[in-house]
Amino acid sequence: MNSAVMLGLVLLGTYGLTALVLSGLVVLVWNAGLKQKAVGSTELLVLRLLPAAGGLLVVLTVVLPAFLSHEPHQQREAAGPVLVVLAALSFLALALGGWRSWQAFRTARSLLGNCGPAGRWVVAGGQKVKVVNVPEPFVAVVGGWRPRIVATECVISACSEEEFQQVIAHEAAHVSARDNLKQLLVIASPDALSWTRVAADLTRRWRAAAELEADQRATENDPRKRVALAAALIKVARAWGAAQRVRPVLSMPVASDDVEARVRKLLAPPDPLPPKLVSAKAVAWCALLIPVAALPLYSCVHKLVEALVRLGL
Amino acid sequence: MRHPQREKVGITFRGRGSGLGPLETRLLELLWVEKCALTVRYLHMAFPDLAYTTVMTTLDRLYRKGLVLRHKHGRAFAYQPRYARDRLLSELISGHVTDLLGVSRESTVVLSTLVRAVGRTDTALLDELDALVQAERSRLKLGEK
Repeated sequence: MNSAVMLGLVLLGTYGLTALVLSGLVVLVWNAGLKQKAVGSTELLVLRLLPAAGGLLVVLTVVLPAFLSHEPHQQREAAGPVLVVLAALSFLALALGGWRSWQAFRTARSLLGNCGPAGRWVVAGGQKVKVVNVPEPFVAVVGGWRPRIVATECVISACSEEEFQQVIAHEAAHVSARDNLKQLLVIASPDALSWTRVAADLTRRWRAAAELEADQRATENDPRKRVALAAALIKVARAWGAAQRVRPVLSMPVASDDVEARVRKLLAPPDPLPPKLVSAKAVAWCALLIPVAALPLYSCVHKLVEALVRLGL
Repeated sequence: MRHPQREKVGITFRGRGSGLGPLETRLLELLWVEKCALTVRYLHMAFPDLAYTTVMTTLDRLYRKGLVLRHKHGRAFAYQPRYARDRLLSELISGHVTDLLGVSRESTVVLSTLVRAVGRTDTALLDELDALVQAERSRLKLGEK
């Protein structure tokens, strides 16, 4: 087999194997009791992205240099069926992840493109907001890389000025936390975990945690702001009901459980967010340490890769 | 400009949710400004930086999306907007919002909405929550006094 093809198979196969092992680990940890605990949004996101990010890190910083430095040149060898199957599955996962992210990017761009010539700009709470005139009470941060806040006229008319400012402060909190970019990474994540229920659980819990954190950052624990945001949530939820009556084709009722939990949380005395078990700095240090720690193990890693290449032959 | 052989098109809004490209938007903007049917040749004069065929293809795409009407004007086609500007843009965005918040699309869309629209509206529950908000507001006002 051509050495370039073999290198491609090795990279894809080892990525698939690493991501598979890490996905299994995440499923085990989650089902072992972590799902019952109050976990912050950072930890949930790290768990969700661990298989793909870990797989990529190991392949690019450990497997690739080990293979290039120890593989004899000009040597042709055959790949075993296990490596081929792993490589094919990885390719499929990467292609699906790429497709999902392209779809997400295209949809967001399309919405922003249509909002471009329509509506008007307003400045609320120091944020530029595109306001469009449609029947749905839509307020959102749209887009991954350069997110923009879009609101509809009916939200402005339903809310008082103070309430609308809190709504925009909530969306601005999403922008500053780069929640949409994180969402794009979750959507694109090419791993075996995406095909399990744990991935859906982790994503749902991460979204809910991100919403609560955005509420908290927007209101800065000020009771007046908390009440204003709670009132706005109820008004937007009510407006969804009205929009459904206006437009029977729209079958998207509001998630009352989502609104209820957030309103009750906003009206209760503010409690501190769950302590951070994982810091972004610690994750970055681990990511830097892995390639350094693997330097003396290149020969061993190469032997393992060779065993994987020949497995099943 | 007269429209002697106007073609019949379906009344459904086929372009809904499909979005408009930048060139489609530019052409539609010009058609809205001119308020009459325009030929490709006329529109091309307004966009000299574009190839004639590009203008023609884009107008044909708008026609297939159901966003413009076209009729024979001599040997050429003349195009005019099918919807008023505000109505079309509002419909497009509304269609997008519906698509974006649809249950099946929720996991594959890059947006953070204030309220997720995936459950069931419960008016009684919203009334109860509203009462709680009013009570808290009154409590805060009393505290300020």
